[in-house]
Amino acid sequence: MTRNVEDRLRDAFTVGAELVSPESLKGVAAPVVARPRRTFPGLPVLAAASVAVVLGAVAIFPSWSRQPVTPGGFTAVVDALARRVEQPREYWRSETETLTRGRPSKQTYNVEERTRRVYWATPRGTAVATTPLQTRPVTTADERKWRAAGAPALCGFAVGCKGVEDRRGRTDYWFAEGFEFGPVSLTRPQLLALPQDPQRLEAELLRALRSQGRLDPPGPGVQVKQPSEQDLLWLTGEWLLTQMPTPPAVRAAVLRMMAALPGARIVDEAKDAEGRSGLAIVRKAERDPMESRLVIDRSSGDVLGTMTLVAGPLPARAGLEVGDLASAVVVRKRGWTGEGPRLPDGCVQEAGKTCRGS
Amino acid sequence: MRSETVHPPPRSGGVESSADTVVTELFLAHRLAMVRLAFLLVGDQETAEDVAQDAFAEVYRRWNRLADRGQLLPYLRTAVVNGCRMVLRRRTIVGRFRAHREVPFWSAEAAALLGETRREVFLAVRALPRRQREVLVLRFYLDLSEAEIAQAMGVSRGTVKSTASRALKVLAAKLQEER
Repeated sequence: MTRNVEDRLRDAFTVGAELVSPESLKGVAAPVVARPRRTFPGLPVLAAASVAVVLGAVAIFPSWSRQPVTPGGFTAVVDALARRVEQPREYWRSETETLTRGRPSKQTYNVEERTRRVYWATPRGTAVATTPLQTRPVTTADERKWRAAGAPALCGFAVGCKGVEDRRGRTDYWFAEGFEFGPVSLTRPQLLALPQDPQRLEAELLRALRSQGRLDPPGPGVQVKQPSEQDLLWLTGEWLLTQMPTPPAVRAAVLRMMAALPGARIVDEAKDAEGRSGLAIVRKAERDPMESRLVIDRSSGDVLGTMTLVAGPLPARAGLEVGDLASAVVVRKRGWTGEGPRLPDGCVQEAGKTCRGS
Repeated sequence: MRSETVHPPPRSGGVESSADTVVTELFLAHRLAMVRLAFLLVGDQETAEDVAQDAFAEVYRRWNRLADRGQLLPYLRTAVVNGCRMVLRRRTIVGRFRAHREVPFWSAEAAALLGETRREVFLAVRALPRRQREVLVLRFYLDLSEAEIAQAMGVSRGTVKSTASRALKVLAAKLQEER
């Protein structure tokens, strides 16, 4: 029961705090003028901050200044991120929420499946806690069709939860020794020592991608369309930025690498799936009709989320048209922490093992 | 939870970073996080921005007296928590003489954005004593350890532990009731 309360508190605080959006903060000079008794003694700090904004060093007040953020703005945001120093602690925790949209087999409506994923790096290895949250019709029209079909229970894309265990609200744990993503597996020292120069980083990741094989097919005889190396670099970059305990300078290098991939461009005003706005790196995949967006917080350079939109025709059974959101990841929390994961009773963190939470 | 970001000590490579430089960088990197922390404690953004701004001003003002400049972030958190306490105390006093003015956190728009389930949690947290609220926000929003919470609140680790335990029990009962 208490554990459930803790989860609810984390969720409520995270979402509640985001009611304060970066762009809703007043400009530095504004509170000084509007509320004289709240002046900032020792104005050089404010003056320096204001100069930084005017020079485009960090565009933290876009709604106030209404200055378009140029690629130079992107560089400044990334430069500031590279200068940040983070002190690693015993545990790393990244919490993301993934939403996937599409049409369940043989249905006439689209649904959105949401899953929470908490990634832990601990002294004993890594732990991933996955919790299916809910699946629901996407639009009002979809909901009408779903109701007309008898409002069946939805377990992900399994309508009526047929043939699948209903794990909504329950957490499964999976443990590994190192940091694994598709064909790439890195140890903690390797991850922390990734190059801080974008060209060297790209070469290092390509070497890992080439030496550690291709994407595994989901079953025997199943053909998997292999992404191009550039597409894999993008996906690896997303993984490093959203989930991994990479140092800020490496994250800055990842951003620069992604922005330099063929076809990538910077978008000034972008929003993530939750409506949080920031800068974005946008790129169309080479072998799929999909466009990826990586949305970055202007004030910190941290990733707010990723979005994948349909950028070309898909088979009708997918239920998605050009411009539709196909999937998104919302980064809820990310950083070093003093507390490790709380595992279910009897569950021991051991590489290769899994645990099922109630 | 937010990244534990520390800034380089003032003397780095033989060059002394000025208060202007360090506090400006600190401000740019942590203003949003500090406003959000204050927002969760006081419930309205305008006051939260004031509290956070005062906390940065405090760091700047006391720069020459700060013994450990590698610990600026914990110092800032403490200043924000103290600032929020002052605001809440002031509201209590004013509330004795005037009708209590509800903070805009519970506006229809905010409630709609939060959703009913989260709103229930916030209402239950808001009903807790001030110290219990602080412990919960520092632990479950910033993911601080007991030692760090104790430092931010100026209490012992034992107090943090017992306060959190009491708060969670009350919340568990309260939220169960509402199911």
